[in-house]
This record gives sequence, structure tokens and C-alpha cells, in this order.
Amino acid sequence: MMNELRPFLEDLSRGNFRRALTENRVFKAWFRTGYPSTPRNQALIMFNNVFLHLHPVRIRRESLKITYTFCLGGLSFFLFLILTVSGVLLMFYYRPATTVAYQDMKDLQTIVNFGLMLRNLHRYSAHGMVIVVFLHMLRVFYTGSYKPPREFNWGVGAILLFLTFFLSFTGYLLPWDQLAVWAVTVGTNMAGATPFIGEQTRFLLLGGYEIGDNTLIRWYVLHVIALPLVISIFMAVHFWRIRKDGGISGPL
Amino acid sequence: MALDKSPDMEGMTPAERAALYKQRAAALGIGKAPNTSGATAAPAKPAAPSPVAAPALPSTAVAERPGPAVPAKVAAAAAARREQVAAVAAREAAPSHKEQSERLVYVWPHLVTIEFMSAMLLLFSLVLVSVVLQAPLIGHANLDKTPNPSKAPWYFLNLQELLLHMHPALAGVIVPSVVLFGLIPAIPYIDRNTADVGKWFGTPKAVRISVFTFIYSTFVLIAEILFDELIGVKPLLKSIADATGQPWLVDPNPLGIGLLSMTNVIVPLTLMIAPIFLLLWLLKLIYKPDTIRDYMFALFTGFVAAFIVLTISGTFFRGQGMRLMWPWDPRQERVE
Ligand code: HEM
Repeated sequence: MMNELRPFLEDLSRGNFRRALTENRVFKAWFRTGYPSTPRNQALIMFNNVFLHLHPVRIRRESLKITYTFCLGGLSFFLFLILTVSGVLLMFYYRPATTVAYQDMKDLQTIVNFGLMLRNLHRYSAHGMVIVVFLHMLRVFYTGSYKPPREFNWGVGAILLFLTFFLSFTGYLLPWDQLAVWAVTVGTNMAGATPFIGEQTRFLLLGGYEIGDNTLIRWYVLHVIALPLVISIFMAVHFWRIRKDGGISGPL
Repeated sequence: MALDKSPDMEGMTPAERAALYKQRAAALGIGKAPNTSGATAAPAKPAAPSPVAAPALPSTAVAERPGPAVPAKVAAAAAARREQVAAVAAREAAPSHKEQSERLVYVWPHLVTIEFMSAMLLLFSLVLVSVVLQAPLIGHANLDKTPNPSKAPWYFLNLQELLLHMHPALAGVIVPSVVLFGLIPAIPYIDRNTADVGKWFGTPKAVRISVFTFIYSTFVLIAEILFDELIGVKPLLKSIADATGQPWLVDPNPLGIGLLSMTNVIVPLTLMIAPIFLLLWLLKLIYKPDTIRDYMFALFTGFVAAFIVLTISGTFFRGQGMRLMWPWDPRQERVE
């Protein structure tokens, strides 16, 4: 034991702090790659880090141009991350029952530290995500990036757009104020106009014939678990496909 | 490889060479049915004496393709293809290692930095907005008090606007489903020419066509909204029905089927689709689009314009009773 510690202690006593900190097993286990300032480490960090490995090690220079993507796909994903974190924090304070939901929202705005900011952040990010995802679709269209071999990923994108709308809309009910219930009434009445299965669709969405507790719990579960899970899966497919299609598109 | 281009092929036409390849393939036994005597894959003997002085490599060549025979035609085609590839490769020298690494950059730090900066910029702006602007939380839900107007969230107000002009199944279900699950996913299978990939508005006429379409669509949609507000499909058809004695024109349920109604479905559908064909015709007249891609720019831009115009109309120009009015009209205020 002492033997193992000796180099460390020697470094410390000689004032060689940087070496003492980095040349040991603990540091090397947690920071597996040296600082990525050499080509080797720049490659290794992409391989060895689960978050970075979504990316390739190197990409075409043109792909960096901000005016090409405006970072919109990446920002869609980042908004999803903000929404996940702020959403989990909101879940600590919110109970999905018609008797308490509204009061929980009020408390969040008046009693909870930073609660108001938290709620605002979650809400604006949700609106922002709808806008950014839509703009991302426009960028992909107007740069012709849906063409072979990217047809499939364009289709996955269409599903992501639908899921984004649906996620946002299921969250809209949760504050249980007049805005929420009547917006959902309007929305579910529209779905109730589906030919042949309108009544059933509406019943499915409301958990009954009228908006109430059943509706709230359904939309809550969809909003905080089911849809985030589904959209994560489709995002994983989307990102994987970008790599498999040869990175993002670029001029031939 | 025995089926590679040989020096004696210089100066032959491709057809002659293809014939030669076929002969050689046959000579090498490529394309023969597998040996039925049950012996293991022994190198087949040349079936016939080679008419051309083929390079003397038959046994290795055959060993390349053990097992079931490759049809001679396929082998010959593959050889012709190899020859083409070799020709292209000879013409365009492969980019040197240096050139290639100049075109490629490391994701760390180049891309990672951009991603991080854009993410932080967005996060800070969102935090800033969240501090200054309060999200709405109005009174407790009350199912007995209907607010007027009752509106969906803004991204569905385009559909709610449509709903004012046609059958709810058409506006709320059929149109959005067809667009989101039909038309949008279909785009890449219709427009497959990759010449303009990777460039914003990549065809010479793309910008002009898109701008024209955006302006055209905006005008048509505003005109149609105003028409429905000031004259109205229903009142118009009603007067026609009265004048001509054709009550079915205004029957909301002809033959018991709501989706056959003139006022709720057929006429609104026509008013949606006819301007698209008019647009395509106008484009053909004015801009003479070159490719499918040019038309695709128009169709998609039309969709975007419709989405924007209808969303704005539904959000800012609809007040109490979902009547059309200016955004500053006092009747925009929600009452219960
Ligand atoms: C939750 C929603 C979405 C997320 C998080 C997302 C994320 C991304 C990211 C990070 C990229 C890499 C390039 C870039 O940033 O532009 C990308 C590319 C792409 N996205 Fe999305 N996307 C979403 C929705 C969509 C939608 C709605 C569509 C189209 C209908 C779409 C179609 C595509 C296609 C075809 C590419 C490849 C583009 C290229 O190669 O240049 N995505 N997406």
C-alpha cells in the first residue's frame, strides 16, 4: 500500500502537484484520455466518451459552417435536454390530480424557490422546441438534405415532429387552469371528428366522455414518461442514421 | 485476375471487349453448373480450349469463385465494371493524404465548441426570458364556464383556423394526417435528384420560385379567409341552391354521408387544391421550372406559407366567437 502511494507522496513533497493529481489510477480511471490537444487524444476522447461518441472523430470542413445548419438539429436536442432536467425538477412539486394540480402550480410560482423561473423555463423551452424543430425541418428541406440516402431519416424526422407536437400538447393540460382544459377540449373535439373511430379516439384521449381526473393522469403519464421515452428512441435512431448516411449532407 | 483487361484489348470497342470477356469466362469454366460427380470443389478444367491467348492463370482464377457457378454474363459484367472503375481512378488521382486531411477537421475542438457555444447562448436567452416574462396561469379549470374565445395552443391554431371553414374531420384530422404522414414523408421518394444537395436553394431558380410561391400563397389564403368571412361558402351556396331549386347543394349530409357535403367538404377541398394547380401552372408559365426539385420548392414553400398564415390568423386575428378582427380589437379579450 505504502509502496503504491510513494510516487504520489514524492510528487506532492516536491511540489509537483499537477503530476500528483493526474498520474494516478483514480484520475486515469475517470479521465481516461489526456487533454485532447493532440490528434491521438482528439480521436480517443470521441471513442471513449459515451456522449461524444454520437459524433465521428472527424467531419468535413463544410459541415462546420454555422450558416449551413444554424445548429438547429443540435439545438432541438439541447432543448429536449433542458426540458428533461427542468421537467424532472417540476415533478418534485406537481401532483397530477384535479383537486391539487392547480394549487401545486400556484405554490410553485409563489412559495418554491426559483419555482416561477423553473416553470417559465420549462414552458418557453417547450414552445421553443416546437419552433426550432420546425425550423430544422425547413433547413433540411431547403438544403436538399432529405435526398438519397437520407430518405429514411427524413421520415424519422417527420415522426419526431409529430412527437414534439404531441409532447407539447400533453404538457399543456397539466396546470389545470381554464387555458389548459379548454385548449384540450378544443383539441380532443377535433380528434373526435375522426371518421369512423371519432368517438373511440376521443374516449381514448380523455379516459371518459368528459375531461377530468382520468384525462389528467393519462396526459401526465404520456407527458412525463411514455412520450419522452418514445421520442428518445426515435432520436437515437435519427442520430445513428446521420452517421450511417455519411454524416450530414454537403455539396458533392 | 484472369478477367481483367489485358493488353490485347487496347483499341477494341466495349462491345467487342464484352464478348471477349464472355468467351474467357466460359473458357475458365465460370458459369458452369457445379460438378455433379460429388467431388469437392476441385478446380474445374477449362471446358474448351481458349480461343484467345488468355493469361495462363486458370486455376487461381477459378479458385477465386468456388462453389456454385457465377453466370458468365455476371462475371463479364463485373469485369467490364472493374475496367470502368480503373479508368475513372486513373483519370482522377485519389486525393492525397494531405488534401484529405485538409478537408476533414477534428470534431473536438471544432464542432464541440460550436455546439457548446450555441447551446449556452440558447440557455442564457431562455433563462433571461424566463426571468422577465411570466408564463400565463389563469383561473382554476371550470368545465361549466366556457371561455370565449377558447383556443388551442398556438401551434394548433392553424388547424383551428381551418376548422372555421370546413368539416371538422377534414380540418382537424384528414388534412393534418395527410400532410404529416403522407405528403411530407413522400417528398424524398418523388424528388431524388441529388445534384443540389448541400446547398441552400440549390437550383438556379429556387429562390425566385420560393419567393413567388410564398407571396402567392399568402395572398390566396388571405383572400380565401376574407371571402369566407365577408361572403361565405355557405351563404353563397344557399342562394344558389334557392335560386336553382337544388337543396342538396347545402345538405350537410347528402346520402347520409357528411364527407360528401358541398359546403363542408367538396367546396373547401376544391378551394384548397385548385390554387395549388393554378400555382404550378403559373410557375410553368413564368419561371419554366427545370426539374422536379423546382416544383418541390414551390409545393413545400406553399405548405410553409399556409402553416404560417393560418397560425397567425388563428392566433392574432380571431377574437370572441372566433370572428375575424384586428389584433387590437377589444373583442379579442377572453370572457367567460
Ligand atoms: C426532435 C426533433 C429533432 C431532433 C432532435 C433532430 C436532430 C438532428 C440533428 C442533431 C441533426 C444533425 C444536423 C443538424 O444539426 O442539422 C439532424 C439532421 C437531420 N434531420 Fe433532424 N432532428 C429532429 C427533427 C427532424 C425533423 C422534423 C426532420 C424532417 C422532417 C428531420 C430530418 C433530418 C434530416 C433529413 C437530417 C440529415 C440532414 C443532413 O444530412 O444535412 N429532423 N437532426
